Amino acid sequence: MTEKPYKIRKKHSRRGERKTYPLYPNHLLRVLMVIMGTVAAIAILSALFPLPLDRIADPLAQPDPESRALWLLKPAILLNDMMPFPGLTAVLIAVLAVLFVLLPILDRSGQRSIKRRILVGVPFILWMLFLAWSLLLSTGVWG
Amino acid sequence: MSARDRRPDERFLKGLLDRLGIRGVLYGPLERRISVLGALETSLKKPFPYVSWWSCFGGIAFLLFLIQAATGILLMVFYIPADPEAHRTIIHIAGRAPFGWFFRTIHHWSGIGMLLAVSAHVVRVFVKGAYQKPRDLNWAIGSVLFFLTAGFILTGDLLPWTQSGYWSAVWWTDLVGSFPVLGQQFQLFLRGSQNVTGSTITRFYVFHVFALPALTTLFMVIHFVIVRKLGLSEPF
Repeated sequence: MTEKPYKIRKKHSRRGERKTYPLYPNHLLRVLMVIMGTVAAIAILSALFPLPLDRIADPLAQPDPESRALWLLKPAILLNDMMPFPGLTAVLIAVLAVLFVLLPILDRSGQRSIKRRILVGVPFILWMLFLAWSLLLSTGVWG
Repeated sequence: MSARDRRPDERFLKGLLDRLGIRGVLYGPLERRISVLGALETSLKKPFPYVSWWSCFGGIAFLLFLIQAATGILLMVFYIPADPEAHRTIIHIAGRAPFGWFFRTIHHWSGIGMLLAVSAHVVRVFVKGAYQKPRDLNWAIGSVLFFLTAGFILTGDLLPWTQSGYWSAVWWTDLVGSFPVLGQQFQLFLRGSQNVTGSTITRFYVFHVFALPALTTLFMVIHFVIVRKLGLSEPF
């Protein structure tokens, strides 16, 4: 009896072949669901939380407190507060960005499991926790 | 029921629908020549490598980029990148332009969503160890795309010319200026003058609307070509 060609293989075969499923309907339906879910989420967010408009920029006015700065800048502002002078923050961010791009050169272990990649795994997870913490502060959840 | 078993009027009706339908009128001559339907059926039934739900963040980021482009073009119709017209036109978009407030808000939320989707994609690639050879070049290109996405948010924040956007731009361009050796020159290039002024809006507008989208599109194409060439990373 021949094997059904388009049946999903639940596990890798003995020969290490990757499991497959039909492009239609399985994969295309999944793509459609992701597209519709994303569009619906954005439309609902936009309808429920319309963007308020701040007053016009005035360079002569009192500078806004840092709590009102763009949420994306919050990690940099927190980092800057920990540094003795601002130039060091800029250098540190640039170094981190370069290390991020060059990650494959730093980790040549060839290991897929994160437990065997402690040297890059721990700094990466710490950095992600710092980002999450600073973003939570910026949204006012813990700040 | 085969075609022979059908009554003559049924056969006539089906034949008429076939001829009048898309397949008959538009698709018929094409199908007779190059058999598109056959090729399509073969492609659609082809086994596809199983993709988990965690692998969809890259696609979501691309979808949100397309939404950004579409809503951005609509906003460009009304927006003027100058001081103080920038703020006036945003008031017009938010208050008077048809569905302007909605497209502006969609543009805002899809920008945040794009950065979150790219971040989730980066975390997944890291956890899976999919940045290692032979996908190391694609990691570098993907990380540049991550920084370009952040660049969209940084430059776009100043464009409404609001008080919070202004001081955010002052803060981060000051940070760029504090970088040793080339910082001051790069800060001047970003601002267009010593301070954040109307010329900074024009520059940020050019970055936001032309330079960053062009670079992002270029890097996305290379990213997709490499993914197509190497395939999705194997689950471990």
